[in-house]
Amino acid sequence: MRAFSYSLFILALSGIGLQACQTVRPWQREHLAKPQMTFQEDKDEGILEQHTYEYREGTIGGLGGGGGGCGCN
Amino acid sequence: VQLSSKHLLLLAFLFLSPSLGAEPTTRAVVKVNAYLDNDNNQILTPHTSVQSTVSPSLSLGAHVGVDVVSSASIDVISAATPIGSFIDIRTETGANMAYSFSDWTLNGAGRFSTEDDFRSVSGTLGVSRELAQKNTTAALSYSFTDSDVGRVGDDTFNEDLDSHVVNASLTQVVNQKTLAQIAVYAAVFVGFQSSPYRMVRFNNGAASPEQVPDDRQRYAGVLRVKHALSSSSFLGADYRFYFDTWGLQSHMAEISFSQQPNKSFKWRVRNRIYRQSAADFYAGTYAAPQKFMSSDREHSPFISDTLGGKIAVLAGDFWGFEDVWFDLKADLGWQHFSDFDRQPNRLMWVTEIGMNVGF
Repeated sequence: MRAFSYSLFILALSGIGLQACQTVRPWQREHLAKPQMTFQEDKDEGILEQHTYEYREGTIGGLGGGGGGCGCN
Repeated sequence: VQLSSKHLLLLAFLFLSPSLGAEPTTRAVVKVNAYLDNDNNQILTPHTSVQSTVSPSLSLGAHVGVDVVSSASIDVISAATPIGSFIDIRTETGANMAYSFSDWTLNGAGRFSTEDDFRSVSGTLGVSRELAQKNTTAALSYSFTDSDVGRVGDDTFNEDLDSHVVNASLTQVVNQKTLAQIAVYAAVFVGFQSSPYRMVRFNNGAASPEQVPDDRQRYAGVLRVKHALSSSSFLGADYRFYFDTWGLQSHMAEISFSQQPNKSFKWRVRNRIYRQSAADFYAGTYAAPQKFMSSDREHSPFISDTLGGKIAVLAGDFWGFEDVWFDLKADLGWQHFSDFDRQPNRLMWVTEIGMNVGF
């Protein structure tokens, strides 16, 4: 039940945020066009990093990544 | 480590693919990642990838990575058949494609990885669409992974693990300086999910193989924000909440600051904090046998903190290429296990060097 409460909280927060959005035209995207404004500026770094976290933590998901393996070490 | 001729042909095709379309762009990345911790684990991961925009609507990519693992950790020395230490090599190859038309993008990816006791094949199909004058992007993908689990020294041991994963995300331009994303992850893992080596201990000193449920449903919700403080300074913030049917819950929050003071230099610092609860069946030691038992510290309650920095330098003209970046990353992580008395604290050090070439 607590888990679903947290999920609902995130959704509600996101909904409130979306209400405040502006329509941004292509010529107004000077800042948004920077590589640092993407959620995966360095895709390869992200893959390697999420792979490490998959081995070292009990939880995964939602942030990209890849790799398999037994993680027996 | 041997790569098959198919893998080499695929990489060669991607290097040569610029000749197939008009004004293509190709980026090649080489990275070497080194992981060390105070539990006698060392992992060296060379990784390379190529991503090419073959035409305005089609991009292709491929990657190859190798994990060279050397371990004498607590898990290894307390395994069913203690061997003191081991060295294992895991090889992963993958390819991806994306095809865009109108406001839609279709994408697909495949991946194959193998090591001494584990083999995994995975496929992903996805679709995304830009909406509201490209201010909103909705994306949906499905992945299926088939894994075969073995045990070194035991040819009769052969178990199967399947996973079905759905990812959905909504990325929204909030204003001229802010971007936000909400993402949902849902997965079902069915099959053998124990470690073939890990043992659990009883209060009387006896030991028994780990046994976890064959079914696990996993869910995560993610909220991410990027904000430009100026044309050269950027803030990032991520939050993830996770829960699953084994009783594990976790919270992860990360904040980052990056800056590019001039055209040829950029840097980043960040901090990531993480906290998880225990799986319902976890115990450091057991009083009596139970249906499900695990003393895996990754199923125990713990907190962790990771502090990291990264710099990247534009090399200018390098071997005839004008767009060459070199980067160096260092992360220091600390985990505190409140119910794992054999090693309550784990320190982890990750160093990564990389080269990114555009042509």
